[in-house]
Amino acid sequence: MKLLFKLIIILLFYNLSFISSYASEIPPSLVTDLSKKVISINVNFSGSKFHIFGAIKKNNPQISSIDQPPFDILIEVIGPPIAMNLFQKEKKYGFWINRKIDNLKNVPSFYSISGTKPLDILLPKNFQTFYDIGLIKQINSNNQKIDDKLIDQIVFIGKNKKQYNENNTPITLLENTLFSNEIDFPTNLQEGNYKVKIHLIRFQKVLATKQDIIYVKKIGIQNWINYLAFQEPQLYGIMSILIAISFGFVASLVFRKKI
Amino acid sequence: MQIYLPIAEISVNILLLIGLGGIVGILSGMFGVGGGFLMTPLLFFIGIPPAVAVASEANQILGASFSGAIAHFRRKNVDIKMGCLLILGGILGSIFGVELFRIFKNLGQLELIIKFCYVLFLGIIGMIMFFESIRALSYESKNIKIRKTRHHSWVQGLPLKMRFRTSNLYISSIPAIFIGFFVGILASIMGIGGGFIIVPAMIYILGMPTKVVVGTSLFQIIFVTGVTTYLHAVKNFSVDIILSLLLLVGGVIGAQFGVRIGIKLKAEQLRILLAILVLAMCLKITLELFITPIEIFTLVRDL
Repeated sequence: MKLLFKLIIILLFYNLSFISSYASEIPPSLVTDLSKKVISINVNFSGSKFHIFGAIKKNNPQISSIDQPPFDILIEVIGPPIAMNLFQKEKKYGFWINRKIDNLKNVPSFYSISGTKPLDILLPKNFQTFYDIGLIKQINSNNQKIDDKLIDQIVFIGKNKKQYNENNTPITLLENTLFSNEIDFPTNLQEGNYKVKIHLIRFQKVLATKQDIIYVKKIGIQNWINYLAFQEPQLYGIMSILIAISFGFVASLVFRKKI
Repeated sequence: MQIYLPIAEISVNILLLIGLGGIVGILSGMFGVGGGFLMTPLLFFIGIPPAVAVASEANQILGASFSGAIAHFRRKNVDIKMGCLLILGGILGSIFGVELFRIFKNLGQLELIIKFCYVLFLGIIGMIMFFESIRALSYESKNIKIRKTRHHSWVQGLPLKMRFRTSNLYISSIPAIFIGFFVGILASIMGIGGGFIIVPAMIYILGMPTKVVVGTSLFQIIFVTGVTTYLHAVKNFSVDIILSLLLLVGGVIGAQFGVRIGIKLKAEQLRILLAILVLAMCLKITLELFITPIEIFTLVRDL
């Protein structure tokens, strides 16, 4: 009798928990990592690559509808913001002259987005704004009131300089769980923290977002020169003069007798 | 072999830079011209930002001229007093030029101004060289010297006269300061030593003997490019020391070969090729200014 009672309680509890989990399903989450945490710019830096990899973790013990495919992954990499002046070339007196149009306080110095499908297919425009995803959103969120045409131009320039990439390498989702993506960094890379945002999307809804950071820094002689040039410009100027002069002096000693 | 230039913030092939320095060095050794007005446009062509190209090239000229100046100093071919006046003007010109540079940079017009100056100067120099070499070729058979040293009378009339022992002159100090000033501006805006302007100016305007002209001009160039380097480093943060050094390596070695080639070959006949090269570069920059650009919009880093 006691045994039967216990069984009923267990069954009841089990049932209850099942119902409760069904009513508020926990959405799946993301487990991700980066192949590098730091990218060093040294003397022979000629661009760099790193990998983002991860898996979709299902959080419900039972089969639940939210854990079912289709899943889609979007990966954004956003460089540190920099202040830029936007110029437009105008024909004046026969030749082309720059005219300053706008001063942009925070333009991302790098932006890359890749996904299992293109962004515009995964999320409609108003959803992109809502979820803060996409390059246009990145440029717009930091600077108020930018004309749409100007944004197009900023995107166009950035893409030409390989600083902005959209839909570069499509991500494949293995067994609806595993994914990885390779990001190419160009040579003209800003120093600072690069945000890596990984979004899990299902039916135009962002279920989970994981954020990580990759740090780009100049090291060795590069870092030293950069530090001197911008922090101690007087010393750097004198050093440049002395280096050039001593080089000239050595050269005159080496080649004096030969002519 | 790529090298990342810390101030230019691009990665360039190291051999390309040394090679460019070498070729310009050979040309400057052969024809006795400073390499600045050839080197800086070439740096634009390989994608170095003009501001960095100009400032780093000024520093390179400093190194290259220093070895030449030592040689002339030993032979006492330097009019130090005249040199000091030119330097005084040159430093003032350099301060003025770097300030102009900074203003145009902030206005976003720097590239245009630098390129415009280059069109003008490469055009003028190319034409002069071209016609002079044609004239030299046609006069050669008749063995007629075409150059004459002449004193301009208006220079004699100016006040503040000084005596220059080495040059054996008693003239006003005003034109020397003005010439220095003008060359100082050019050094800071175009990244050139200005030898091709100061040498003829010394001969034709000041009437200095040709023996001391080259030494004195090198003497003034090292000071003016030194000050220019310093001011660019402090005001515009645009001196790339790695770039200057690589160009120096190529340039100094190239110049040694250039001098030897110049002695063996008849450099005067090859001068016409240099003139054509200069005119071609002038044409390329001109076209960039007038042809409808592919990118109407540009983003410039706001420092």
